[in-house]
Amino acid sequence: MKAVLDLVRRIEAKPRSAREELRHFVEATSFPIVENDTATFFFWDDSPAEAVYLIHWVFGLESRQAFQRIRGTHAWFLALELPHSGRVEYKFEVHRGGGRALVRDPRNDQLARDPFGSNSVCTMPGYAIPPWTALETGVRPGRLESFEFHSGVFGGNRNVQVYLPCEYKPHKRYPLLICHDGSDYLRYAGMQPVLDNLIHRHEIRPMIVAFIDGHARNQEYGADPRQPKHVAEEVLPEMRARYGVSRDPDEIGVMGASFGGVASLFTAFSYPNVFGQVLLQSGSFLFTDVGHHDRGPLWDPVAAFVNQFRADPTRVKASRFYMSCGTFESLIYYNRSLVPLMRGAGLDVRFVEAQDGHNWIAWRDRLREGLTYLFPGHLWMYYD
Amino acid sequence: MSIVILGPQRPEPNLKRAVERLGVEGKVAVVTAGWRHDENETAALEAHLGLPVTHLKLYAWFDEVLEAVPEVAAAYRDRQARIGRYKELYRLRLRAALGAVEALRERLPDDPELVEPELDRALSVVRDLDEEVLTRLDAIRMDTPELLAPWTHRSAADRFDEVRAALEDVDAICIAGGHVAVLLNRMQFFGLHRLLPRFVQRGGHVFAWSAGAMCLAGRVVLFYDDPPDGRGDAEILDRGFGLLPNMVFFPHGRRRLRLDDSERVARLAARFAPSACLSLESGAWLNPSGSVWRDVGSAGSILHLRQDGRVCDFEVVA
Repeated sequence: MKAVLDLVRRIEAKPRSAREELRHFVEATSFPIVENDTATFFFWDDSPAEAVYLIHWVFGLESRQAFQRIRGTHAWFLALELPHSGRVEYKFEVHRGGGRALVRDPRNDQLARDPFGSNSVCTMPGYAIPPWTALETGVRPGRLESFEFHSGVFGGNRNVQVYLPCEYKPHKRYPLLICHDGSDYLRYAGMQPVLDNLIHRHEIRPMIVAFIDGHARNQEYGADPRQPKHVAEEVLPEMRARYGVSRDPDEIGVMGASFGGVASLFTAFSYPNVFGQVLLQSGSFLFTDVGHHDRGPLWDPVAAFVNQFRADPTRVKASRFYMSCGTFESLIYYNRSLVPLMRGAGLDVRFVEAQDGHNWIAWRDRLREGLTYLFPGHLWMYYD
Repeated sequence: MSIVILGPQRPEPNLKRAVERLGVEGKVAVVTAGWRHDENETAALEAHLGLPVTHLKLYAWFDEVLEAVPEVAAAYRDRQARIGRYKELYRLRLRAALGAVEALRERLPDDPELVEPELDRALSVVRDLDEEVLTRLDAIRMDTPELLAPWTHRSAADRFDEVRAALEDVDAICIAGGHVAVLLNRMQFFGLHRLLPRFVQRGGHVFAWSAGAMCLAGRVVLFYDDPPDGRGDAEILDRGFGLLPNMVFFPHGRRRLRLDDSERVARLAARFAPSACLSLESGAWLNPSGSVWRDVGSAGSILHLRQDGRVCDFEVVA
């Protein structure tokens, strides 16, 4: 903020050289400007605009925050106090000529991709990209292959992408994790190098991961009874027929984020002795204590299921749960609420809150904690 | 004494060069018990060596013994479970003792004269605890006398004889890395720790890497500075074979230790002094040379963690 205030003072002192000052400023500065716990966002393309807003997905902050114009210029800024380890995805909404455009921060190279495109990223001083997210030196990568099979549950063919650890041998039996939104986990959360690294470090056991995708995703994942049936009665047997998959329920896991979290919990709930490990990221666990919710009909079966789960959490027989949620998400309320309920019912739950939002990088950054909790390797013992 | 310590054999193995350097041309015994279920997958190792190999399948033999003699299996499992429970207690005490060292180190700059003696004493507590572990483990083992020398038990005696005969027949033995506790236990179960000193005395060569190297030291130290869970306190697993009593080995130290944290390095080195704390990276190769040890491996592949917090290339240890 200080840097921008200094700039404003210089421009006010010499308004005629404002453009030159701005040019020097943007050339010499990285954006957004992060000083201690304040991030200052800056927009200047030397064209007039009526207004500029910061669009972000931080629950609790006004989601559309107005920039302030530096008098006599077409430059705009906004300072926000953010948590020390925070990571915020954002865009600018620029109002011009009666219209408005949503754009990424043109002066920030940090991007996060997701199925809808990409966002600019602001990281606070306490955030660091975990080193295990990119393939580490000397790591022998596993491989991805895929197969297609006919789903009687949904009708039509379904594709499964299968991660096999580098040491995979068909005669051996490995733990299996079935991952909802599999293509997105691979593409946007970089799950393959994460698995490679964690297996190489012996932080998790060598394991197989089945990456599956929904077709009518939101409907199928939103507590649709066909999805657990598909996972437990189609995907799992197909995997067992094709690969060396453990017979021990404790070595069979299911995971997902957002609605994929609902699908995962619903699957473990519907097939209680099949899935021993459950990994839930930012689960859309909407429930109602009384009356109705206001999120639309897509959420009706979700709320009905979560209400049912809350009434009897012990129906899920999983040995362990790992749950995470960002403190910038509205879903934090639902996730936080479930944890004491589940623990009170005797379930083994590790719950982690992140200073991040509802996005793929936040889910990537929690994979190490989640996978090592559910499928711990012999990291203290292995020196090969 | 002809013991050669090597670093991890991935990505670039250097075992063959070390074997050739010492002029080994005859049979070689191989121990891969640390690979557990993959013990038999020695094809790549044998191809790399290019010498006739006698595979000592300690991992499989151990399972056979336990399957054949249920009372040995039960006694062994009970003893190991008790050791596991004791280790939980050790970790509780260790965390408290290390916590005191950490807290005092933080206060050291405030008043060195006052704090330093307290810090020395706190470190002594940790060192005493590390010594105590070994005597406690001995005591727990004494409670199961039938397992004190399992290689003399009728169920394992034939295998012990097989190991002894193999060592009389080979010029060298290679001890691979892997799961260090499994490797150590299996070698002890079949009495290899008793046979190795004689093997070396009669001119046999021992090549050991990673977990294999750890087992030859005076103490086996488990370490991982940045685990996904917990504080990452290095801990004593057990006594090693004591063939290299003045060293503690830390394979993959660059990856597993925070070598840029001089405080942490200093604490670790002081804790295990006077033994030298040596990180072994791929390419490491420690050769006997008279009464001293010489690093003849790749540059920077053996790092010496020093009590002043520095991490230096290894030179020699008398």
